[in-house]
This record gives sequence, C-alpha cells and structure tokens, in this order.
Amino acid sequence: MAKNYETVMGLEVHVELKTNTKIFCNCANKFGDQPNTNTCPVCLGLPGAIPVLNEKVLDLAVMAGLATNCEISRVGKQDRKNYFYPDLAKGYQISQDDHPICHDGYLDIETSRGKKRIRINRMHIEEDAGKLVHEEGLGSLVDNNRAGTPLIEIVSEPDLRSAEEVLAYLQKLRAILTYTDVSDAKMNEGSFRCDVNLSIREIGEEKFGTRVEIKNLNSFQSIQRAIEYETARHIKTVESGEELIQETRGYSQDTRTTYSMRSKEDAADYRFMPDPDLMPIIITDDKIEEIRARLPELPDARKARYTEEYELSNYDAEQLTSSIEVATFFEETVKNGADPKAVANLIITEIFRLSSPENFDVNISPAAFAEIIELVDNGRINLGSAKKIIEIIFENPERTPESIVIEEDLEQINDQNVLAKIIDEVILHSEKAVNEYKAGKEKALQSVIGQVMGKTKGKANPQLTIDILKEKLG
Amino acid sequence: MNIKQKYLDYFTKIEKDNEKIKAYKTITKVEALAALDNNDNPFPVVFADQISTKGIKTTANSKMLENYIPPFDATVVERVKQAGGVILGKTITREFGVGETENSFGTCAAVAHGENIIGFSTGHRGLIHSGAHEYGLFAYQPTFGLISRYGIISVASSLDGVGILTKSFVNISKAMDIVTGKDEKDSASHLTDIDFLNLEDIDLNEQKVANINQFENFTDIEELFEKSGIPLDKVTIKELEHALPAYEIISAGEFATNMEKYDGIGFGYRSEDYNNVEELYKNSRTEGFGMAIQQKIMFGNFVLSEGKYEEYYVQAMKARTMIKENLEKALENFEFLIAPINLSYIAGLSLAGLPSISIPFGKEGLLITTRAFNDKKLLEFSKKIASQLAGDK
Repeated sequence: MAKNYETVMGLEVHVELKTNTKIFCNCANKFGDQPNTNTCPVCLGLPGAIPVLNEKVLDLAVMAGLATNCEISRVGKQDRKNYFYPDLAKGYQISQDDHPICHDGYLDIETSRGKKRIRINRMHIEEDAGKLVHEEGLGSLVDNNRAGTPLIEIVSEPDLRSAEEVLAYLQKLRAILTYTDVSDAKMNEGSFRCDVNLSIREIGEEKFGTRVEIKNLNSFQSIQRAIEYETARHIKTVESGEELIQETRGYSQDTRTTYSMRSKEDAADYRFMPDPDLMPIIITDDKIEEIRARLPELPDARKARYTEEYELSNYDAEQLTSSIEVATFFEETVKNGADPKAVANLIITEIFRLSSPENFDVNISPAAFAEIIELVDNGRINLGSAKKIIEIIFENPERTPESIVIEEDLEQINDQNVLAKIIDEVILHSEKAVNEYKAGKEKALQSVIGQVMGKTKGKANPQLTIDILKEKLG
Repeated sequence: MNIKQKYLDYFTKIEKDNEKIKAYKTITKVEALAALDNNDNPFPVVFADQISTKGIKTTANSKMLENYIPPFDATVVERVKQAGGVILGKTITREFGVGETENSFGTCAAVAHGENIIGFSTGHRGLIHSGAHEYGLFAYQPTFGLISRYGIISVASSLDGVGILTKSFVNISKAMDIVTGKDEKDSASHLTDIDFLNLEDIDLNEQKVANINQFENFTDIEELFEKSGIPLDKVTIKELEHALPAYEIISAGEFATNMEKYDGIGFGYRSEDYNNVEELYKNSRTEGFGMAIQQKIMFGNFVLSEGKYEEYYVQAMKARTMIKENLEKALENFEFLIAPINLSYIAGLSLAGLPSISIPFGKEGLLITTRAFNDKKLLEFSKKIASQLAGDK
C-alpha cells in the first residue's frame, strides 16, 4: 500500500517597508528611479560613512508585530551578516541575529478545510541590498538605489501543510501589511517576497524530513507550482529509496520546475556579529501603546463586519477584505449608494478578472462603478452590458457609464412586445432546440436564449426573455 | 609678517623636512592657502590620513585606497573647517591603523615639528598615547561618543575614537570646543554642554587619586606626588589582565567585517588580474592589503566563525563588560586613576570607553583617566599636574 505523506512548510517573507527614506540614511526610498540616483556615502558603503537607524522603521516593525499578535522586544540589537556579493556595498548586510524586534506571534487563516492558526516565530528588521543589472556590452552593473531599503523578514513556524494554506497565509499577511500601511506588499515589484522551506514526512511521523529552501518565487502561482513540484519530487525520491539533500533550490517559471542552487555544504558562514556602529534598540511600553492605539481595523475584524453589516457570505467577505485596496474600493462604492451584495458580486466576478486582488489596480472610480450597478438595478442595462462598460472604462477611464450606454447602444430591451416578436422569430428558426426542450432537455433552452441575445446584440433582458420563452414553449 | 607668508614659510619647511620626519602623506598647500581667504580665525591643523577629507586623498596609508578621494568631510573635519581650521595636510598612519608603515606616529611628528598645530588622529591599541610620549606631546582621548565617528575610516568601530594631539592645553580646549556636540550622523555621539574653553584652576590636594598598582616602572610618578604632597592611594584592578586579549579579539572581529567593503567593486584598488568575480575579490584584496592587514582579517574571521564565536568573541565581550564594571567601580572611589602608558591598561580604557590623557613624563609616561563624561575635570586636573611637572624641571 502506498504510504501517505504530508508536506511540512514554513515561510520566510521579506517585506519592504513604506518609509520616505532608507533605513540608515536620508536617501529617498523609491522604486523605479534612474540607477544610483538615490544614493549617498552611507548606502554606498564609503569608508567612514556610518549608519543611523531610521526611527520610522522601528515604528512600522512594531506595528506589523502588533498586527500579527507578536511579542515586542524591549531591547534589541542589530547585527552584521557578512558575505561577498557585488550588490552588497559594505560586504555585510545589517540585519538582526538573536534579538529580533518581534517574536512569537500568529495568524489565523481559513481554507476549504476550515480555520487554522499559523504561528510566527520571529520578525526582524534589516536592509535590502542593491541590484545587479546585466547590460549587453557593458557587463554587470550595480544599481544601489535599492541598497538600504528597509525590510522586515517574517519567519513562520513549520505549521503549513498545503499550497492552499501557504497562499491563505500569504494573502492574510499581505492584507494585514497593507491595512496597517506598513508596506505596499506588491509581489510584482518585489516589495513582498517569499521563500518556502519544505519537507515531507509520513503522516503520523513527528520527525521532520530533509528540508529544502525554495527561492525565486515571484507570484502566488509560482509558489503554488513550486510547492506541488517539490512535494512530488520529494515523494518520488523517498519512495525510490534515494536520499534527499538539504539544499537551496530556485524555481524556474519557464520550465515550472525547481533546480539546485547550492547545497548545505556550500552555505556561507555569515559570521554574525553585533554592529558596533549602531546603538542598542530600546522600545518603551509607551511607544508600544502609542502604536497599538494607531492600529487600524484589521482584515479579520473587517471581514466580521462585512458579514454582519452587509450580510455578505463568509467567502465574499474574505475575498473583499484580502487587500486594503479592494476593501476600500468596495466600501467607497457602497457609500455611493450601490447595493453591497451587488457590489461584492461584480467585484469578485468582474473586477478580479481584470485586476487580481494581490495587485489591485483599477481604472474605474467607485462612483462610476456604483453608477453601473445602479444601471443594472433599475433595469436599464443587463449584467452582460455592465461587464462591457467596465471593460471600456478600464481602457478609457474618461468615459462615463451613462455616455457608454448611449454611444454603444447598450440599453436593455425591457419591452415585452418587442422581445416577444424577436422570440417568435427565433423559435421559428430553432426547431431542433425547441423540440429537445419540449422533450425535457432543460439545457436546450440556453441555446435558444443565446440566439435571442445574439439577435438583440446582448441587450435583451435575460429574465424577461426566459419568462416569455417558457410561457411560449409551455 | 602677514599670515599668508607665515603659512608659506611653514610649507617650505615641511616640504624640506618631510622626507626626514615622515609626518605627511599628503601636503595640502593649495587648499590651505585657499582656506586663509576670508578667514578671521585661521589656525593650523592636521588630520590623520584615516579621517575623510572632501576632495583630498584619504588613503588610510593603504594601497587599497591609494587614489581614494572622499566626496564628503568627516564631521570633525567639517566642524574644524567651519571654525577657521587650516588643514596643512594628511598625516601618515599605520595602514588602516594597524599595518605596516613608514611611521606609526605621523600625526605626532607633524604636531611636534610645527608650532601651534592641533593634530587629530585615531589611536588603535593606544597608539596616540605611545606616540605622544615618544614625541613629547599631550594626547587626549575623549570619552567614547564625545566626538563623532562619522567619516573616520572604521578600524575597530567600538574602540577607536578620534584623539587630539597638541603641545598645549589651550589647543586641547579649543579643539574640543569646536568638535564636540551631537552629530545626527553618528548614533553614538552625545549631546554635551561641557564648556571646554574655560578650564578652572583646581586644588590638587583635594582630589581623590589612585595609582593603578599593578604595572612596573612607575616609581618616579609616586615620588612626584609624594614630593608635591598630593595624596595618592593605590588600587588594583585584577580584571585588566584580560584587557589585551579581549581588545585583540573584539578589534579583530570588528576589523575583519569593516574591511569587507574593500572588494574591488565600488571603490578602492581593483586588481587587473581576474577572470571572474571570485578572483576579482581575492586578487584585489591580496594585492591591495598589506600582510598585517590580511593577518588581522584572518584572525578576525576566525573569532567570528561558526563555533569559534561563542568560544572567543562572546567571551571577549563578557570580559569587556567585566572590565568596564570594575573600572567604573574603582572610579566611584577615586575621581582620577593614574598609570604609566601601558598597552593592557589602555586596552582596558578603550573597552570601557573611558577618557584618558597622557602627559610626557619620565621613562614610562603618565596616563590619567576618569569617569565617562567627566572630561572637563580630567583636563583641569591634568593641566595642573602638567604645570607642576613643568615647574619641577
């Protein structure tokens, strides 16, 4: 009998903090500028230029810690992690080794198998490195704009057992970080990055299996695929009696497989040591309380409010609260007078198709969106036209729903007599489908409706169409 | 004689003598003469070549930085320039404060050779005190945090602050008045309201002084105190025996990581002989650093490496805390501690971040220390002792 395995995973998530300036100098913390324009002696690591901690970084780290139920350290220190890499100007990264700012927290996630608590081991502050740019003819160049970008690294306990749980955890974490304005947390811009530590073991076994760390995961989809690939690889290796190697593996989007980057034997000795340039970090109770008082409504609380106040389903509420941008868009639309359930439906079915919740960026104002829902509500357009209008506005945000309805001729046909005439014609030409329907094949009606829609350029009132059809076909 | 001519004459003298006295790495005649324009209060200064000067080569006396011109001034330099300081040049140091050199005491040589020069230097392993003793100068190492470290090429960041070398207490006062004060660019730097300019006359007989009673060859100073009728107690601080090893371990660890930035990528020496980035690092560092530097890096990386860190570095940090506590305890009972210029002792003071001043005296020199931030009293006491010694001669 085949053995039953479980996948055991823990995550290391790097998050860029939303500060105006870098972690140790006054350079702008900005994405996308000309290379090496946001630099100074400190972030270039010039001799004698020494770091001074940006207090805002501590505030945001404490905020993130409180929002994830962490204990906050009262005394912390910063350490040098030494290694050579061309994008690392000082030859060491300033991070935290044994006294992280936050520790022992948790997040509650919800999956198809119900609720689960995922423990957070620690959360520490550190600086980002620069970036290597490979230019044809010029070779490799270093862009230090990113050097000194403040990060927090959030390390979970190995509590995750499936890709679904991993994604739910990441989504929840992302939601919390955007709600608290700690980070933009955009995976596609690199402000939210995740490494997965993965091993397998037989169900019931308490000992952990041989672990690999998976890097280069740039999207939720990559994470899911990498987990599935690695789990299968581990099981295959173990079943064939071979030995797994503890190593770091990269994920390739092209081949959708992982590959070995370096084994444990090749791992660098980082020679951690307390950074003598920086003074100990002291966090007072007052400071913590002051930050706690500024904590906004968090995703779980907001979700509860949505199910209660707007009577949304658990699933819909979870979807809408998965990022602050989505939640804000939802609430703004409702404020414009639209029906909450209709708003929820249209966001989840239509808007998410055009812009995913994790990179939510919509080209449509809540007011215009509310207007579209209003148009559907009072029967001036049907849902199909609503989708069309949304797509048009995404392309041309200056156009208004009302003008599109007129210019694109999208007004719904609600006139029973007009529809009845068209339907009679369709019935006449759809003998086969009509007979099938009459013989009891419910599905056949769909093709007849489709033809009515085609004849009306999608403008027929769908419900009215069905009613008339059913009446006529008795 | 106008002031410009005075400086010109002096530069003629430096240029003639430098070969012999080995004081200057770079003589900054052009910059100095320019700094005399619109300057109501010009005074001559020199900076060790380990202190960053904007637009002027700062080499740490190493091939690694032989062509390095900082785009910024160290905070000390900036403040001295603002106050009218005229930089005569950059003085010779050991390579990165620890390596081979033509003169370990270039700053001392420059100050001793001139008339009224204020010298700023960093003193790894108490070098400024031994140098001052050799050249007959006063050397003053303020409490850690009184002078900003910003722009000082890091050697052992938690141990080696900027020190001042002069022939007179007036110049120490003047220098401290200019360079102290909170610097936002160094989180260790302290806000201070010490008035260094007006040192008060104090009564030596009312001071509580103890002689650290564990070093040899210190009879002449005891005689002096006895002859002057100044009460002198004795104290032994056993923990100081760990000072030198702890200092060596901590400074090597800090040194090794401070040297990581010299990789041939962003600035500094780059070997021409490489086929890949690993070779670029290796060859640039092998060719750019002297042997003593490479040895200290090796030792530093050893004490920081996995397994050894607990055994060496953590132990050294514990010893550091112990030494600091015991020195502070002794300084609760006595305001001043005196000792000869002794490596172990200076290492202990560096580990504790305490201020010290050395006065040229006898064969072993005289080193006086006090509590952290009690620097003004230290200067007043030392000044009085120095004048007593001068009168004695």
